[in-house]
Amino acid sequence: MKPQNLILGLLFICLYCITPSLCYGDFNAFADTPVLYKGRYRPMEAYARLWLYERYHQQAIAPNDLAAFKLRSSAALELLWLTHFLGYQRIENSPLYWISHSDVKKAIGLDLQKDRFSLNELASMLKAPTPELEGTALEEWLRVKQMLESDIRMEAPTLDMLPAKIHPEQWLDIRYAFQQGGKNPTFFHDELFEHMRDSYIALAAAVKEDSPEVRQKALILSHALQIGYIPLENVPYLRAIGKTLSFPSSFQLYIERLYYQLPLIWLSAVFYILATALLLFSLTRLGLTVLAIAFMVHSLLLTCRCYLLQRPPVSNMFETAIYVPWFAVLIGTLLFIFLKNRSSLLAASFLSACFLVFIEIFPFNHALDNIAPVLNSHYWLVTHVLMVVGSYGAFLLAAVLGHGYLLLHRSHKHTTQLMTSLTTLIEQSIYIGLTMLITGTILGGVWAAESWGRFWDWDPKESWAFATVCVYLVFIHAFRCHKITSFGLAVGSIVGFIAASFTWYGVNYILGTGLHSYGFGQGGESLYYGFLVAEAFFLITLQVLIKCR
Amino acid sequence: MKFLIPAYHFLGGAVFAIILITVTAVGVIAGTIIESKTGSHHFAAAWTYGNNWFILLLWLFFLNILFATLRRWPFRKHHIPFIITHLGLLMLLGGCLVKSYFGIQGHMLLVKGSDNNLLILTDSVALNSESQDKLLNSSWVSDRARQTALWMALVLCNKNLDGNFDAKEMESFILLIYNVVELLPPLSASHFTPRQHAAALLTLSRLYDANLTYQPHTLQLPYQLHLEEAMILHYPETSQPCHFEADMLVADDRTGSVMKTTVTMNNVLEMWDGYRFYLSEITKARNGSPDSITLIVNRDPAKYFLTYPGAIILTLGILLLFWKRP
Repeated sequence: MKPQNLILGLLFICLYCITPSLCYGDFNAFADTPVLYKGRYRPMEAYARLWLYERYHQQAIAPNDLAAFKLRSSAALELLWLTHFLGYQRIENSPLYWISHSDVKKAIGLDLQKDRFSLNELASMLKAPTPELEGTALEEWLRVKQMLESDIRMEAPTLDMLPAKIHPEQWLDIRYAFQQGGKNPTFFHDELFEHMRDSYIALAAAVKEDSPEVRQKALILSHALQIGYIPLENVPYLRAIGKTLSFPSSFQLYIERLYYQLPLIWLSAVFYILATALLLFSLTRLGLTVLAIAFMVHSLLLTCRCYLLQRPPVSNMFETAIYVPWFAVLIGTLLFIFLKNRSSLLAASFLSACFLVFIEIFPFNHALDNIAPVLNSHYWLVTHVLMVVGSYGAFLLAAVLGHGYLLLHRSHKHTTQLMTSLTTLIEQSIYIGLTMLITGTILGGVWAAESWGRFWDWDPKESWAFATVCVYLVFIHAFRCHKITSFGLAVGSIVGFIAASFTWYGVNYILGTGLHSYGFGQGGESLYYGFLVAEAFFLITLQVLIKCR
Repeated sequence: MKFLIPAYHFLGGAVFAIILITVTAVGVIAGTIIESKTGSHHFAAAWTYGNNWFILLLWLFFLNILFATLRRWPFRKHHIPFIITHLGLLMLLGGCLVKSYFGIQGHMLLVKGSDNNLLILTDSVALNSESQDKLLNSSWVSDRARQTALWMALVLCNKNLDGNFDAKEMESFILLIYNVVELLPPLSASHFTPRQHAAALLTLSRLYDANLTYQPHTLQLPYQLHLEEAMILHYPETSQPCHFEADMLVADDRTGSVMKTTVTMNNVLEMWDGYRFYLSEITKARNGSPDSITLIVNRDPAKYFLTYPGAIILTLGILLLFWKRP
């Protein structure tokens, strides 16, 4: 393939992925305007997407629903502003609320085939007592009910966009502030405040009349708001020992807006898929080029989160699920450089593609959020958490290589050169993972001694990290002392990853106990059990097939 | 004496290491599952990590690593990573063992405006009776017998948690075991789940008209702590805390010095004699009660000469092992 064709092909992929997410509307001028939401000052584009996602479970309106929402653009920002001016009443028949659990639908008497329902369809839920639901169904019922009650009470979404006069860290709802009968409750000087109020009133009138001037009026108000925000940029609003929080700069707001708009996860997933295919068909140079692009996009994603949150991106399941495949690719590349074996790249590229597609398909919390006080230590987040979570990447790589080895073992009666090289790769990946996990766990012990006053206390997260180390040590000792063969090591890489996956996911989402409570969450249990069953099935089937050979 | 050499090689061998690692891993995993099901860390610890079989495992690990290292004698250059790794492990294990025997771990509650020097030893528990009941205080049974009888009663009660238990049957059972109790091993409080504790204590309290409670042991610290101010900072317009901070006065009873200090989460106060005070929780004033804080207090005599150096040596050893295979 000619390089020009490759570049054109890649550009086409980029445009194809990016275009649908850049949905513009009349209110696009507000995209970078700061707004306070869930304790963070964010660009309005981010707030609109999160506001919509909470209800609709997507960051933009689906094309099929545009007519039902009476919208010209699928942009969340447009829906947010229109609802702000015209109230929820405007969309009381639009399918805004996402309900997935069939038990919840049955309890309300909804159509089981549909997933999104309007305010009117759910009105009966408000008066009905809580039905006898359990687990995730009950959670969904309570979540939707709470949201409906809040939306009905508020009548329209609040937009906390105006810093208060005395405490600029407290931001006022724009409608509330402009209804204060002439008084200026904001941080802005009176002249600017008057100008903002007039612009807001003009915009509201244009929206109510459905005038073509909406875009222009929105531009005037957004410009005034951005000018008013300039004196606050980078100014600290909270200072304490070891903790300072500042208002974001315009550049940070711009980057955060782009972060939400650009489908970086999809883009890197598509490139990883392409790289996997190219490497699989021995197009090594092309495969390496595409893999390098995928890795750059993946790195950009992580860098954006680091820059915006001012901390390493490893404080929740979504962030670790991005970081783990990234680290696997890094390890795969290092192994390729030192051992000259492209199997490590193929495995790393394949697993990253699978992971990123999985992240996009399943409902992870993508939001950029604040962290718990116990994690207020960049030093320990970088040393302990990055190392421990990074080790999962190495173990994941070893497990994928282990699967590859076992499949080859099934189809070949004698050990081939590829199988020998795979054994080396598995062993080295496990070594890297173990080095990082043990070192990271020890550093975690030192952090625990600094934070909780003790080095080790068999907290479930500590216990499972210890058990994971034990599982790998058993296989490594057995392999090094010739008690098991490469086959055993490959099985060990899979069994070890099952233990590592429980340390990563199971402790927080299944056990849900211990001192690492800031990472607890819910959801995905059935998928995880499915993964365990699939692995058990794979190992047993393989064993049976080998015996029957 | 011929068996000693094979035993030495077995104890320092890979097979024994694999057995030990496997048993330990299974035990630890079981502990986490028990903790998750019962909601009690102490209950899980009593059956697993805190139990004597686990301490025995740690000692066997110690022996295995020691013998595995000694088996390499005379040491050669290529043994260095192995020796460093296993020396680090030995030091870490040694540190854990020293801490478990000589360390102090507890918590203390400080209320704004008042002093306190009483450390509550979190991992200890004692049965406390506020009753003058004749049976519980009769002179013909020893303290140990009385305690054990109560524990046995708890066992019986726990079989009848749903309420279908016969009080007379219970009383005659306790009297019966009083006579043989010296032969029975005492049970630990942690062998029961919190729910079982509550139900059994309630039953026994009703039966003997006694107020039976579990209370952890306490220890008087050589420091008087005085809470001046406790502060929780929140992220803007949310109830999500972003920072905890407490201003305290710490008076050393031995030197007579008084120190004003601020502790925050992730910023521990460490005293010259190794006592460490970590701010764990702040409870803000509510319903007339003042602000209060919970401090985790800890003293690990092995930390600086065994645990931390062991951790560094182990890490170095693993890096060398990875870099240069023995």
